[in-house]
Amino acid sequence: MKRALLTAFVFLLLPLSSVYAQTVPLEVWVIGASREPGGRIDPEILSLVQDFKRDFAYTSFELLQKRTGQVDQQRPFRTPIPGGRDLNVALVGADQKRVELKVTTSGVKTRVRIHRGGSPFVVGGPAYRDGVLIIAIFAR
Amino acid sequence: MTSHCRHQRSLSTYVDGELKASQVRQLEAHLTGCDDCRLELANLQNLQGVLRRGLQDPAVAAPLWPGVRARIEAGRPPGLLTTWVRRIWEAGWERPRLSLAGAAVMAFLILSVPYLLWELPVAKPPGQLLSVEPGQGDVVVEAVETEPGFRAMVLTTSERGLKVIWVVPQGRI
Repeated sequence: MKRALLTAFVFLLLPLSSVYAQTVPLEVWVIGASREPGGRIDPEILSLVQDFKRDFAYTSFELLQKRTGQVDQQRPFRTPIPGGRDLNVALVGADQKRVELKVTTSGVKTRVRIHRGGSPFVVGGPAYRDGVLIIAIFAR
Repeated sequence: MTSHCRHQRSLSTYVDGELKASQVRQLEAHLTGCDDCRLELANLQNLQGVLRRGLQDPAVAAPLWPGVRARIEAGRPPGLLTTWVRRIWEAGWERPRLSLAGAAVMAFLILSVPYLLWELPVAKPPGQLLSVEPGQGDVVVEAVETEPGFRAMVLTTSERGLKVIWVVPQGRI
């Protein structure tokens, strides 16, 4: 009887473990911004870079890479980014609407809270070729 | 309900001898002044007498019995589902711990399924950035720490208020 109850108890905990091991899908866009004459903008990132074009003195925006992955509290999301750097995103906490992330990349460590499916968190500035990198992190 | 109605309804119980002593006293007091109830009581007692005599009289009961037995035997056997439900029900009473554990499992599963469905992350297709509802796009920067040799600024874009951490080597700001 005890064995049967123990088995039932373990079985009951299985769905709970999946709740605690919640994963958050991420999407990372790495954009190369420069002041090339002519100002070329990748159509795929047009909506995002409208803001950057207005506020920063860059004319050309190229989507260098787009990575998707997921992060949970045991496994951070790591990806190499152009320029021989790494991007590391760790999950601090999450609920249905928001996530709290710890983002580490060249020169900076930061902790941010963003909405799932909402605006991205953006890190910019690392030098790349004749311009800079702009990294946008979306939580889905 | 009036006092008369209440007494009238308890006449059958009175005839069967199942009323409490206090109720018997109340009913008998009512009967002294109520012709209707006395008449109904007489009818009930008469009917009870007829049935009792009939069942005790073999001449009356014997012809009825074969018909009763035939109707019992003609009854269909319980279906498979009924048999299983009955077995589980009886087993449950014989093993209360097991049935309690089973009930707990069922309750947990029933309660956890909607919760799990509610918690599952739903990935939105890429390119939905501009459809963010007002107030849903906020990014809150909790902390910024730079490595030696770097400086960082937290900027907000003028159009959509995107939060940008701008990192530059020291000396370039």
